[in-house]
Amino acid sequence: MAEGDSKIRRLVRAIVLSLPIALLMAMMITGGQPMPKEPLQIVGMIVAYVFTVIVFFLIAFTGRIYKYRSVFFIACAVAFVLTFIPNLIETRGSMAVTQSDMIQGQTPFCHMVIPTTLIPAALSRTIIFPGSMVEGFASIGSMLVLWLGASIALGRGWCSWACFYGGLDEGFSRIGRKPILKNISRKWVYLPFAILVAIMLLSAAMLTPMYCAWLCPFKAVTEFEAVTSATVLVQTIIFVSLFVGLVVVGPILTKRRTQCGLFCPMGAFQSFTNKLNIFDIRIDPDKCVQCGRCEISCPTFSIDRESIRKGKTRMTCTKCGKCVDECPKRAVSYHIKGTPVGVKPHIARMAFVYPAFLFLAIMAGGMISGAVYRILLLATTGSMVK
Amino acid sequence: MSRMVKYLAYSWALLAGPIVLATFIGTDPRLVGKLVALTGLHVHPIYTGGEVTKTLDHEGYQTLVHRPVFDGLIHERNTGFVQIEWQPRDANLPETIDEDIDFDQDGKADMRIQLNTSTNTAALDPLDSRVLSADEVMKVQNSRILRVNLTKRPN
Repeated sequence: MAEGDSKIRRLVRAIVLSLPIALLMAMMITGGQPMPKEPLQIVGMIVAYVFTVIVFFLIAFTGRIYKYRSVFFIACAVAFVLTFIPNLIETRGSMAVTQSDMIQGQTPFCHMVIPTTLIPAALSRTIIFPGSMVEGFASIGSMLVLWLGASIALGRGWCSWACFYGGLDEGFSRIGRKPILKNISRKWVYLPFAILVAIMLLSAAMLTPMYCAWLCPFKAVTEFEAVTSATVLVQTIIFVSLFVGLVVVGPILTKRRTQCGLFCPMGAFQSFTNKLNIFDIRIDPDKCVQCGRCEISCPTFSIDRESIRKGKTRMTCTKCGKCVDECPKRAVSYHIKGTPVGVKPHIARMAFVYPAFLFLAIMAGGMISGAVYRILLLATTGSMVK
Repeated sequence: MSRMVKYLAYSWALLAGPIVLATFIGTDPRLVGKLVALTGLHVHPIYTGGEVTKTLDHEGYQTLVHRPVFDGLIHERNTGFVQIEWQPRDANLPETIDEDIDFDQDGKADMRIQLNTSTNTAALDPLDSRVLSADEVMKVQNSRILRVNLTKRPN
């Protein structure tokens, strides 16, 4: 927002900016389905709608992106878990995937698998995943379309505005006031790229999504293979340990998104889309006083002394907006590539935040609505599952 | 910085919103189906079991024999499997099924399978040296699926 704006003017502008979001969300909240008949579902939908519009209004009114995006992003991740698990139990009877579920192509596809599928897809036009290309919930085709659209529109903004797992480690990173672990070697930021290369090659060689099978920590709160052998037991111990270490303990100790910044190969892969995306974060050298607050606060280790000197974030930036909010001199801003740095930054900010929030809101709308429904179901019937 | 570059940059940035909306519209299963058909992408046969090459009709049930799957990344692999499915016509499969399977369609039986549908177990009798072993029987609704491991180069 431009400096010196009166409160009334900001309020009017925030209302005007929120109206299209309110209208679009009213159209998209049902996800293209007819309005539900069950009162609890309608209540869930209304709560999700009001919450979404209020969050966007607060972003537009206060100009603080990270603060409100983060609340929404965390709510999205928690809501995802609260809807996904009861759905699985209702449809399949368990969080565990059996061999027969896999052979029927009933495993929901998720974006974390995408990098591991690319080499086989390029060489043999096959997807190495036990899901369905078109039918069913979270089909491979629909997730690929979502990922492609988000990558074009947001680049690695995906990780802070679309990934329904990222809010979990962001949530844990907001517990506690100060980080206990402060000095983390910058060499670790290359680890996700190493994991990315390793899992892409191994997956292609084994024709198995290796990250999904062995490493993905989010299986702990979604679905996992039923333990029927020693191999699956070892896999289970690994992914549960990674969940505890990287998604819970790491973020609490560092106050950063350790899974997203130091481990996630999908995030590393998504970094390359930042090169093609029109939006980035820039640091105006004329305003920067080298206080280092942006470097300390960056949740994904995407700002260091070198990047401050260059006036831009590293390619791993997820455009979460924390550095923009934290900078006391407003030297850090959203930027449209090809336009001058620091000139009318509020235009670039809204040009990015609008599509980014819209993406998050449409993704999260159904999840939050579903989660409220499940909570109400628990309160009224004693069970989250029908 | 030229005015043209700035104009193009702002235009591209403004397109991000419509791209997001188009993305969600594009997740409609009919559109996804068309896109998938256009790319020719499909799930790897090690997960689907490959195409059905032969359907054998029996009283009350049918046996579906898939093509042997040796598909690798670029070349075929030395080891693979053939998937066999028993599907009931009405409600349930018979309690025991004893069947000879000719997976390579050369007119000679390659294996004999004795399937117990109440215990979901199968006894495999290899009649061809390429037949190695059987995995566990999988129950899918009222059908049963068995994968029999094969080799291209028998000892």
